[in-house]
Amino acid sequence: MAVLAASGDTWGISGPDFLMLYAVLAGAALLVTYLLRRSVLSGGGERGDNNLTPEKVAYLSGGPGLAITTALGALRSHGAIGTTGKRTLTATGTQPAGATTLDTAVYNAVANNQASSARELATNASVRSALDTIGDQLRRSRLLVGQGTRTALRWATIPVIGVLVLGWFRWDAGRNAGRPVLYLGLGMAGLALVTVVLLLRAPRRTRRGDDALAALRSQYQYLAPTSDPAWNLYGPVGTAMAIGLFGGAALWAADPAFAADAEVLNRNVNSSGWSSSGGSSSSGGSSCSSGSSCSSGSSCSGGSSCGGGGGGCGG
Amino acid sequence: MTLTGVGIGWRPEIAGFVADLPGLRFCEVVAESLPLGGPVPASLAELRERDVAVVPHGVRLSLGGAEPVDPHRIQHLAGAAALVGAPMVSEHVAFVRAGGVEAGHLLPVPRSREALAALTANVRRTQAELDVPLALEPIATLFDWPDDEFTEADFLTELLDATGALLLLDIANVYANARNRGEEPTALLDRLPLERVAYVHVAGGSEQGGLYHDTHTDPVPPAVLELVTALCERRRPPALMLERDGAYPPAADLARELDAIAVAAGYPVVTA
Repeated sequence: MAVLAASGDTWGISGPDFLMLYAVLAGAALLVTYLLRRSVLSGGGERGDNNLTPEKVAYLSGGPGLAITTALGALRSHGAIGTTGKRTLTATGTQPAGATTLDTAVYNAVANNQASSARELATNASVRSALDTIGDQLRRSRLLVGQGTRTALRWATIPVIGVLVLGWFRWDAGRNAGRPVLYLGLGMAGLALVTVVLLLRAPRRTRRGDDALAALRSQYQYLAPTSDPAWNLYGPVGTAMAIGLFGGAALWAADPAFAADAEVLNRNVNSSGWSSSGGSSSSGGSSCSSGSSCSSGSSCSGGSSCGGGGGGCGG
Repeated sequence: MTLTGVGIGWRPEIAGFVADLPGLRFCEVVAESLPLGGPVPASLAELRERDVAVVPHGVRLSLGGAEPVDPHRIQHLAGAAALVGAPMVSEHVAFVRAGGVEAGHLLPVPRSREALAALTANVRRTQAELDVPLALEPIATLFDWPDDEFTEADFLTELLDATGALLLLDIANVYANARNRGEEPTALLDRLPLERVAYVHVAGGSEQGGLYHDTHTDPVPPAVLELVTALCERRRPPALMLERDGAYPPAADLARELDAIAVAAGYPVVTA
């Protein structure tokens, strides 16, 4: 390396040329990574779920917290539970026929005075167990991103990591030869940042999950709170589905006093699918699955600014 | 395209219920609720794709006013008809404003020659702008004007003959009027030009303070269903529809109301 450096350009490639080449390589690597992630996130294959119940829909769109809200909405619509003031959920009737495991867990927790608000229900063991089952079903159906998919998403970052490693060798050689390496360093820093984001972040849902939700939202548009649906007409299942698809705001529309007393979050699940209620910390990953923010790696192309052979260049 | 069988008044609040009626052939939508130029509400558009006829039902035209009917309102009604590809439109025989003052609800027209002439002129003005037939709906009259020169049946017959308009008969109104005046509701049926009926409104009501109110927010009482049967025995209208405007019951109950109308009229049920 020292010989090459002494002869002039590191590896026989000029700084500006290398920066250009590096930018192209980084762009290509990001594209490959994006395509790999896309493929991993498709949620394709045989699975899927043709029987998305309101609570599954809620878990899919907003997470476990919203699933609890659908159970509250359904039980309330049946007249099985009510409130007598702030944080005072109480049983007002018998458990309805056809109650799901989650409905039953929520009803029992309320009836046995183990929980008096939506927040307390979230920590109840039976409720948690029912929620975990729903989550597992959704992951098995490849609607939610599971551990396997998460690992595959990390592996998809390999091309970008390869480009980073190459950049590190060049940066090291250039620095040892006393060549300017600032722009390469900055470009690599940007790419490293993107890599960290790609490694840490994954969307909650697969594309199949997104598509399923979008289709259901379209099918049940009449249940959106903005459509002012006749809640009594659509009954417990309709109310629960409205909450699952459109968020806790649906329960606030259907039964504001109950929703307030039960401390249900008055939030919409927006159309792009990200819910602010009960979402997990990884829910911000959408920005990367779309590939848009990943293209910030193009900051490497800033090297072109040194085409004139300026001081801080690509080694 | 004419209306047939049992229909329902489409409202956004019950759009999902209406969409799930497999046998539905027609529905009615409040004309003023349709956005002109804007897209048809998605659930209405789906009904149109299923070839369910959609009839815009105007409530703000004020055909019965002494002044000429507002051309913009006629255009809106015509536009609403075009938007949903309607086979016909309907409006009330009533006035809702006079001298620029909005009454806020439908007021009965005095049954005088003068009022008939003004009404006929307004209906003709409206028809001139419409590409589809117009059906006229007489409204509930809790009182008679002191200078009435026609009976209700004669007034309507004169109006329909002069304009060629169709009749939208509100059977619950017929019941309410007769009952509140202590008359026999079938007596009016015998005098109305039933061959001109395009379709029939069937609505629920309740008794308050000794008077029967045509509320549209209560179940259809058996007496109104019996009057439906009495009407069909005289001359069965091509179509009847449930007009419900609020306090919606659970879906199963609303479906039973539709079925009851179908049974009373001898038409196939639309709920299965």
